[in-house]
Amino acid sequence: MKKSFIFLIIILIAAAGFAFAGGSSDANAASGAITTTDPNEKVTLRFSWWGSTTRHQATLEAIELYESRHPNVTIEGEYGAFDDFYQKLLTQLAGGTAPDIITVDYKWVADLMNQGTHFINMYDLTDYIDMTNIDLDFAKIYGGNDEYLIGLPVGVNGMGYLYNAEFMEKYGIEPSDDWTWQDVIENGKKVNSADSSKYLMYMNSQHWGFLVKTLLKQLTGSTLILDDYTIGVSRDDIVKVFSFVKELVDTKTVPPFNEGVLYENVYADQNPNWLNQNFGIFPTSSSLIPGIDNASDFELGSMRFPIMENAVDPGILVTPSMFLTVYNRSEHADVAADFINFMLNDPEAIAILKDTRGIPCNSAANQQLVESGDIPQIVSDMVSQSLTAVGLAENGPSLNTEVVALIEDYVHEVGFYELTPEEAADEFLAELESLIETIK
Amino acid sequence: MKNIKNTSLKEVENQKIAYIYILPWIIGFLAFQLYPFIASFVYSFTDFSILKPMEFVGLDNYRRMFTGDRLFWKSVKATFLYVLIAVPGKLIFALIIAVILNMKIRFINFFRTVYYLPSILGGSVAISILWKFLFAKDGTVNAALSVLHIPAIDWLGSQHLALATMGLLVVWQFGSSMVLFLAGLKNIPAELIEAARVDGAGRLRVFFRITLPMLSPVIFFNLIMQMINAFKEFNSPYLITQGGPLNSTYLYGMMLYENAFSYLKMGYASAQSWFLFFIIMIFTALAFKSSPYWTFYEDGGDF
Amino acid sequence: MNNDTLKRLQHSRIRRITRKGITYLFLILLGIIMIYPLLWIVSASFKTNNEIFSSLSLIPKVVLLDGYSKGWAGVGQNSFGLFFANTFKMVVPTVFFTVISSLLVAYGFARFKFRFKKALFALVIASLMLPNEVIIIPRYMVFNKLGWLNTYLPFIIPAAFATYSFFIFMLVQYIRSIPRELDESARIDGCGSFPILTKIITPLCVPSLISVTIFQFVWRWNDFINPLIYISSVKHYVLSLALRMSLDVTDTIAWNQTMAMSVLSMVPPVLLFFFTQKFFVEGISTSGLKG
Repeated sequence: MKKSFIFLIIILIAAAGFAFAGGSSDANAASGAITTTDPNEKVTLRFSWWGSTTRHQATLEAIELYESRHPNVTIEGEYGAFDDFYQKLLTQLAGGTAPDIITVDYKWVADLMNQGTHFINMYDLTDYIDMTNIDLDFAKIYGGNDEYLIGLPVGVNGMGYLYNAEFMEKYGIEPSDDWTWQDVIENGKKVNSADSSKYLMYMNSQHWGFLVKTLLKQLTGSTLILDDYTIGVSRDDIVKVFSFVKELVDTKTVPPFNEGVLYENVYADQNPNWLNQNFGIFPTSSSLIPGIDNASDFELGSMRFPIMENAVDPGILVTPSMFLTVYNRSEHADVAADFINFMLNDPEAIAILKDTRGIPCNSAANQQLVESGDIPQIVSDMVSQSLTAVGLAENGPSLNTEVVALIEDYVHEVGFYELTPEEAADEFLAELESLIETIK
Repeated sequence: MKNIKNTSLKEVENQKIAYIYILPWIIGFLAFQLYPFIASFVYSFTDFSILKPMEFVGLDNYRRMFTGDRLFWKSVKATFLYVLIAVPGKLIFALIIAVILNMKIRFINFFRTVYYLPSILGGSVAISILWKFLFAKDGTVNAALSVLHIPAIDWLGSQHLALATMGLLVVWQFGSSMVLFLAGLKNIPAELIEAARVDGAGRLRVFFRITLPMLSPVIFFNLIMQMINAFKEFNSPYLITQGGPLNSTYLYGMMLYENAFSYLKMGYASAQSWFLFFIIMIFTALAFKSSPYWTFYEDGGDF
Repeated sequence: MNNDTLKRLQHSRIRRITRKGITYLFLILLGIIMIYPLLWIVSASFKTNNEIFSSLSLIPKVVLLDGYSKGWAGVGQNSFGLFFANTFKMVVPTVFFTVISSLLVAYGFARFKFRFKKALFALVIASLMLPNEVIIIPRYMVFNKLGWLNTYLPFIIPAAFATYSFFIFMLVQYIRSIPRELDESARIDGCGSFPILTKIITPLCVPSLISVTIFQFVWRWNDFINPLIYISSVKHYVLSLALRMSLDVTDTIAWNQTMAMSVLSMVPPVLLFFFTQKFFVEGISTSGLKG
């Protein structure tokens, strides 16, 4: 036994040496320099995105068009589901094997930018991409700063209330674009007192997190965490917000948490209670509407997200849907940039891609699709409603995945009546402070 | 118990031969498994966020894990509970079914296949949809219970029940354990059982005195493997509850995944993994130490 | 034969029949629980999205028939025919090498005494204990250095080198329940260790080797996370990746197609199980050789 032990130790030490010698990652060594590719040189680019069949088909078609115009270029699509896309991307970035053109969700940008420069600065690509029709001020709020831009936004996404028109009519509720939170509660009571098995609204955990952050902005005009990693709101503010969460549950505006919790990680299109008309409003971002619309066999409408009376800030979130980025180890960054230019600006490409990546950020593309009637009315409704009251933008610390998870957890503590709003606020603040220490 | 048949000369020769047989594994281990092992151990002492170069932080990760993580102990507790529910549940169920399916009855092939189906379905996306239908408050299971005048149970919505419900899903996928038992049952000489029956032993007695001891190596294997897998379980919370309600099903595997790939705290996740490794190691060692008292090998326990 | 014995015979026959009846009833009821999800998926492959998520019924109200044809066509030029072929290319060699290498190594551990045996065996088992999440990145680096990314080599070569430790442990357990006297008598007859393995151990291990085949086949077939990490090109995608390829909330998911392809993707593992399970029943019994 003793001998075995010594033997084991020797093997482990030998292996550790091997590990350090061979394992140092050089993923950060980036050239960053953009060279010009000879137009006759055969070039193969990899392009990764997520999506469903329509987006895949349209993108492949656009790629074909691009290849027919540039016979020396081959673009290999690497596409799949959204769910595990991020894990794969992280692994590839760690291994230095990521594709040339990468789709990045706006929620990942802050974390990725904290991790060093893995994507070519878009400001360096102005020679290759026509950015005149792209609102760079909007892009840099979520995609970088004045010096560095991680990618170019493809679509624009607005938050709002999606409602079931039949349901609203049945309970005599008038959808309108100037609801306050009081209206939400009033109508919530109305629905549940008419039929105790029905509720005005359903929210999944993502929406709860979003609700808390929005209420805080409307209440204080500040994000939860400031850019310098200090907390931007007071305990009182948080107590008020958690009390409102409790009020939503108390008044049965939303179903009890133990019933809702089952469908917290899906959207309305997969929630039987939505499809069977047990509730009438689903807060959502505009990009999710097509899927929900397809599954619902009743008429849908969109209304503006509620804003509290005397709000300091309207709080409504308008974000890019996703960014197209160029990997900084790409050997043909110029061609990659040219392809992004093609996707965003070329009228033929726009006609093929339509709204498969949301309502285009590019104003000319938007105009083109409106004219050709390729943007569903309800989607453009929600975006334009949200644009009337754009709130303070989210910042990196407030978008941090772990911060969001913390908010959602304490909403549940309140919603399940495990903690009072005051207790929850105290615990939440204490946890948030120690969490901030680890994410700075 | 010592094997005295081998002379020492033979033993030396045997040793060389033995190394030839296990050589593929030695190479495989050194080439593919050792580096990831060591690397994750090294990560566990660093602040490593996957893309940035790692920074050595000593025991910080371990300290934070034990003292500064609101979910850590909650997750440990849930995981232990889950192991306690899922492992015995699955083993007992699989054993009973295997014994039944080992009988000579008609359509047995069909039944065996049907019982293995849930294990083939595995982590299919369809399962998470279906499971919600079945265990929603107004779902199928409660509808069936209401026929028996049992009031509706909040299977997945209650923080006290969700974990047990999730355990049910795993028990339902008992197919692999069942197959192992079936293969083990085949190795029990039929005349042993016949002889006992002729001596007048009842079915239960035969089962406990002959079948179980003869099956003990397979039971042992199943126990160890199910335990290791249950400690690492990720799929069921990820697919069904996402760790909720109130983190009551936030199993260790899910915590690791979130820390590693959602929160980009790979160093921290590695520390947690090594703690789990340590826990599993203790339980496995205990099982191995206890095995001479309850397992029976045809090789006389000589290993 | 007197009346009494006849009665007793009858009585025991009735008892036997009722017992059989109860067994069948139990098997059938349990069978329904086991098969219900599959039936639901099959019916879902004919349903609209609305119905899939709003009703539990097995009979679709509106029957969609295009799930299989459209689903099979896949996206772009890559049909499910390709994904099936890819999956076989990945799974079959992996299973083959797993069976052979695990048997050799398990034989070494189960039948020989050598230095460091216990320590090495502890390593075999220890390699099962560390969660995948934290070794997936360093392992990716290894295969990247070897230049094996975007191929099936990260599955096949480690299988050839017996790194699926589960099966080593499993086969060790089964070999150890084979009486050693069988080897001894063969050795006395002049058999070397390899002939003992092929002529005595292997035939007796057939049921467990079948289990190895089934498990490894089903697990590799369903494995999602490893192919996700190692395979990038869609033309090399395996079924588990292809099935999830079009799941994205921001657009209409054709769930009937996804369900239809899920059903088809289950066919090979089910067939494999159905046709190999008879070896559990007819596996050569040790008793025959022992006598």
